[in-house]
Amino acid sequence: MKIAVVGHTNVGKTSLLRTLTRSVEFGDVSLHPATTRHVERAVLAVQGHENVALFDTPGLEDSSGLLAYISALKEERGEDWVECLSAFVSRQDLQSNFGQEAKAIGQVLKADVVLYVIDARLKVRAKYRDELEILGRCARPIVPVLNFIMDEDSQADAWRAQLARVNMHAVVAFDTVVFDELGEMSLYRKIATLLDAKAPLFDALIEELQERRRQLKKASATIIAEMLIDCLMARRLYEKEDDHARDTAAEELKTAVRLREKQAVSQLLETHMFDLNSYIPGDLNFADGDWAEDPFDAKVLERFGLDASKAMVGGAAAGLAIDLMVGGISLGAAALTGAALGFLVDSARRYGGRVQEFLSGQAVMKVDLPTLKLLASRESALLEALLHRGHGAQDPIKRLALSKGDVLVPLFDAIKKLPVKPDWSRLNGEEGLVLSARRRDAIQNLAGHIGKMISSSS
Amino acid sequence: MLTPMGKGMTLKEEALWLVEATRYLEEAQGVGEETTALAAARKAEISIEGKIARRAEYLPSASQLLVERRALMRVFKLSIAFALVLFLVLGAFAAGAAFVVKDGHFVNIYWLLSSLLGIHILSLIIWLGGLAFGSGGLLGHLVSDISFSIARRVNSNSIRLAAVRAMMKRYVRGKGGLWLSSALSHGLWGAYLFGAMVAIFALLATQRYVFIWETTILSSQSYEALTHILSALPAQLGILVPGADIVRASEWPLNGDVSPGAHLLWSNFLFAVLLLYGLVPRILLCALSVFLARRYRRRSELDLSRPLYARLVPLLHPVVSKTDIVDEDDEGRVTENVTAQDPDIPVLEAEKTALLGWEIDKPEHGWPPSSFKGLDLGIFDERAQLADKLSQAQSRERLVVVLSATLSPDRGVGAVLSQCIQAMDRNRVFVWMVGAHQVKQKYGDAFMEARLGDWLSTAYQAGVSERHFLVAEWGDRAAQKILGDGQ
Repeated sequence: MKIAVVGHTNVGKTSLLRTLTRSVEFGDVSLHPATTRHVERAVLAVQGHENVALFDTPGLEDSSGLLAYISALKEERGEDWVECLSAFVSRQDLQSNFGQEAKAIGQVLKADVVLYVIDARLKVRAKYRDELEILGRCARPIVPVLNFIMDEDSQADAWRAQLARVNMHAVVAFDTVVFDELGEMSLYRKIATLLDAKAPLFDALIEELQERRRQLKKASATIIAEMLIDCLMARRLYEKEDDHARDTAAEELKTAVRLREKQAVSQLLETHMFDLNSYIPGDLNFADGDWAEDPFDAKVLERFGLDASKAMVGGAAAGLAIDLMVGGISLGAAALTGAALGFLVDSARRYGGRVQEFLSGQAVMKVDLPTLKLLASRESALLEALLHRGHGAQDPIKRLALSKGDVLVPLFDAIKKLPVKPDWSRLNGEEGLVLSARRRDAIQNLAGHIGKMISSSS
Repeated sequence: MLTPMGKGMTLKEEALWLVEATRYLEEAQGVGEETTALAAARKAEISIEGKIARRAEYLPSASQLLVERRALMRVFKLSIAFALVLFLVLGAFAAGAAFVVKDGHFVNIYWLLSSLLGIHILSLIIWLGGLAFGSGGLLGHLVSDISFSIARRVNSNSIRLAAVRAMMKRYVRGKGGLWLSSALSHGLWGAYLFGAMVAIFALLATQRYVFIWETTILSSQSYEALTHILSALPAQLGILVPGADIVRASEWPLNGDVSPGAHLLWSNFLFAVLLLYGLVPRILLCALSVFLARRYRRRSELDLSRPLYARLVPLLHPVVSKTDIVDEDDEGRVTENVTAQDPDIPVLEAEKTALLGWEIDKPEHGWPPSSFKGLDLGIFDERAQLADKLSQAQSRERLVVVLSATLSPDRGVGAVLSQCIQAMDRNRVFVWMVGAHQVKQKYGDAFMEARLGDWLSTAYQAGVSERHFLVAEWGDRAAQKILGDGQ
């Protein structure tokens, strides 16, 4: 099954392929026109069926010129359109300076179906009408794909009207930047309606993609739940009455939690097949866990709009409805800069006082609930952002909308019911004690709540 | 679905065990950043289960886990061997103890049989009941939880704990575990009965016994009938068993003349009953259980819905299985790099300028700009009209082509500009980019710079002088100059 992806230059053909293949590495994408110069293939293996091959083609740049040229060629050779186009793509001496277009048309003629990518932000112009005319002459089924429909400048309606005029009604709206699961499904469904005999193949493909997405959500929720359990059960002991020991313990615990969150973020990015490095500015050295923004700096906290004195205990009205307005700081940084961890020290002291009676001479320090709430909502927000991010997207995620406090209630009710099990945490340094089946069940339970949070808010 | 295992492709027991053990380890320790194993597995053209197994094999933890497995297996096998010997000895002692001898030579045959086979039959009934009603799951869970907590107390090494867990998963829990424990219990009973038979053989070989039976409340007929029923199967197999007269004669106190061959017939009967109702059923059931345990174990595929596997699936088995270039760019088109220059726009009388808008939106304040006094060629985007417009423009000194920076340039626009230059002459054609401000607002400075750079090189390649390239918004001062109204 061959699907040719064609369109004007710089409309996001390669981005469409990246999004459909969940690969940020496919082809080259840039803001310059004519980035893709060769035809590149991506093969989707559908279990139990034939493969689906998508062909990325160079953009049609000078369609008006090409149309005039082919019309003249057709007159001259006295052939019909398909014959003339076939001769044009197979003979270099007939290609004039339309070599790039010839590559694209060549794939169209070989394809079972053609995806015609449209930048919906642009007005319908003569050159696009000429493109449609040429493609129409190729006598292949065409599915127009409206890209960038989520953009404020989108002119999707004008495009639909124009496409209807040339008898193309099976239009798909699919934004390569803002991923929409239903949009992807309707893309394959429309192809299936044009190629009736291939319906089982596309049904299987759709089912496989849905299954993958379910698994992806589950796996992501588990990553977050694991991090929460690790942080929730993390403990540091220190000598009572020894301020220095207490500060050292607090620092250790903070570092451990910070690194653990960072780990969860890279796991999430990796699982969603996003490239970490594309989203982290160079001056933030991710590998060393060394952040330019110190999350414990009061000024930084203030800039993030977090008022440490009004801690989010009890999920008050505003709760966690905090948007991390981080102009210039990209996804990774926004997600990783542990703004909320500033609460850690105070709360640790509070808890320390309560537990220390149980242990002679030693006090216990742990992470408190508001901090956990922030960790939970920040990572869920990241997960949500990743679930709605197309792999063709180029810009870093600039803003993570944290979920409201009340969304977290079921999750934290479940957390409060958990037994106190310091040996469930990997942050306590005792290797090997975390294999318990009950810990695993607890993680699954929390993951279930996180999954519900995600699906209820999206 | 991602579940089906590739046809004809089944993982070996050890590989499946390793996958489980690795899962337990990674659920506890987190998934390591082990890229070699991932890459090796991704490359292999096998089922997703195969890939997960391949990855587990390539992980550094694999060798340690397999060492643990071998050790555990050794312990397991040794324990079984030890238990078999123990039950053998127990059986022998039980047989000895069951030989209650009366008055020197007389042994009650039914007392002996019921003490040797009674518990065996009871345990068989319980086992059958367990199969019919109970689930082995509960017992399996109990055993595995107990073993795990023992292992955990003995040694907190996570490799070993993961190995123990995987052992329990593969061999103790579930249907396979149920059948394996059945096989074990049948085997032990077999050993017990075998030990008993050996001991009885030794006793009968070295001592002279007379087999008798006795009863207080039952009738003699019931013993005759019981013996008859029990003898039916041995008799079918050609074993000589006591007849009704011998049974009657063997009632204690001896009420008849026991023929000299009777003790041999009774010995035959004793061995036949122990063998056919004791040892043989246990051995058959043991073999059946081993077979079923293996079958269930082989059938237990990886549960790909587990979150850990869900994480590995996209990495090991990406949506796209292959990418390659099928039609390479052989033109190798090079874009000339042009550096932006300050525009050089000579002052011109207003009427001497022709103005053409190509693929632009009509400006807010109308077209042409109010200050424009020259020839208005209009806004259009159809190539067919171009030649006609250019012939009109030839009467003027200067042609200004207005283009929009909100679009990205293409060879089509390049062709339009070339045509303009052919019609006019290089020195008379000017390009005026509008909309740069809009681009900057929406996509930022860097994007706008890149966009204008692309436009400049497109114009330059079409033959437009880099000094005839103006970036200005409607109504800018610089625009006044290009419109031929400049001071």
